[in-house]
Amino acid sequence: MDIQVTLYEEIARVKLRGRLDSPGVDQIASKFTASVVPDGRNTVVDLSEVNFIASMGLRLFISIAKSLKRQNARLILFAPQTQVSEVFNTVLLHDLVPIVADEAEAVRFAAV
Amino acid sequence: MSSPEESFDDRTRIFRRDDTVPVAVQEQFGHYLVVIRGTGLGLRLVLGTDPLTIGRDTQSSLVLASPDVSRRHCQVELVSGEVYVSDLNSTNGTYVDGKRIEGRTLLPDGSILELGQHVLKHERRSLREVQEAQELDRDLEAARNYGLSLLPPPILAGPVQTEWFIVPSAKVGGDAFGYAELDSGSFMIFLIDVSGHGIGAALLSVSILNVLRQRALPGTDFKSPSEVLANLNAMFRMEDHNDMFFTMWYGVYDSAKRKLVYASAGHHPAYLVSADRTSVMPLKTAGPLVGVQENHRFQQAATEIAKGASLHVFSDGVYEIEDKEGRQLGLSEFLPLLRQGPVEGRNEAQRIYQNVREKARPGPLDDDFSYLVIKFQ
Repeated sequence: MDIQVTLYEEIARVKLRGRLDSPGVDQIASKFTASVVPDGRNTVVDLSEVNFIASMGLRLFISIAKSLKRQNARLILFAPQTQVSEVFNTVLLHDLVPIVADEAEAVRFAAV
Repeated sequence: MSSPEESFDDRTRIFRRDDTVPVAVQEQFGHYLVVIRGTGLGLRLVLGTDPLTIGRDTQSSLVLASPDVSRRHCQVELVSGEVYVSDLNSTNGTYVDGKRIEGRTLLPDGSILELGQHVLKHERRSLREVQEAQELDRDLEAARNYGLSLLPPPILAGPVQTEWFIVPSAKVGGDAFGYAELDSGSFMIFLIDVSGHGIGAALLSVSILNVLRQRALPGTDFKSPSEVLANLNAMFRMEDHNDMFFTMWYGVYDSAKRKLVYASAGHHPAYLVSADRTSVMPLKTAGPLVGVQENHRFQQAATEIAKGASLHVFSDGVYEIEDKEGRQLGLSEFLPLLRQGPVEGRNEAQRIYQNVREKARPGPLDDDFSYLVIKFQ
């Protein structure tokens, strides 16, 4: 699992690559959380290269989204692959975290 | 009254080691192969001067009586402080850290050795570490046995019959299920899948299981699936449970009306399979993960149950597998298995497990495998 975090203006852009299963989450959770939660930044996450998500991956997104919400910031996911999108639909993740098609839409969402 | 070596508060007791006790100047280390999946789970083999052989042959150092293991499958040896493994022309191959080996291959400390469904780990440990690991293993085994002891026995006769099969991906898992008569005409069925694996998930899983077994949800009508999910959602808020949540499928069968009422929370569908296996109907309602959204109003739905139909309720570890080519499989690849006929000598849940194992890459499944079948006569 690979993570890249870039900051521009008030938004953090996070790019994830690989499988978001338990070992994958272990590899990126600290960096992901430390990069966006302390500053309460609006965060957009590129999922186009995430090919699998397990419950620990959902837990990571939900925990970060809740932490950001407490600081009036938002987590927005974009471009999930079909299999990942099906998992999001099953657990109704969109009730908690906006999930949009592409980065431009995600940035617009973050700016609202 | 506490001694100088101890300090107390209401919850914590701290013991300090007596510095006058001599410690070993030099610890002796050994190399071990530990069975972490398959026959002899938890067994710790010492690697010494003689090579250790693994196979179906009864003369092997470790006998694995399994069809996916060859008679003489592989050999492990300790040479100049390093451990090497050699495949002995086995049919299904020997894998080190997921890669099939050719020739003599180094087996580094911590690496995983796989033969069919059997998995061993190489550990270089001091005697003290081995003793601690064995103690932890015993504790985990006790925890595993406790979790399994809470699962209901299969029901082999009567108007509602049950079969199940469960394989935790770690020594203890976060899946649990149950069923019970609520009264003479109502039968409760549920399956829960706690986020993550291991002891943390297992502890929450056991808590939920005991609440459901004892019907210990105040003011809850257990014949109402939506009410059960709503009250569990209130009781098990993730903020109060180390950020853990769970998915759940819950149903109640009314045998007089031949009607099943059900609800799901963040869980994929259960499937109702007709007696002739030509119809496979998904049973699911839209609901979030339990513990994540406060005050959510869960929905429920109902369906009629025809004679001879069977209900398949299972965790996502059953179908979220990687195949032998490394492709990620999902529900659509799994569902055709439900239409296949029974196999002599295996119950339906065991048949499904065997089918999944045949599709999956060698080694342990990534997630807990929990499968429950309810047959309606």
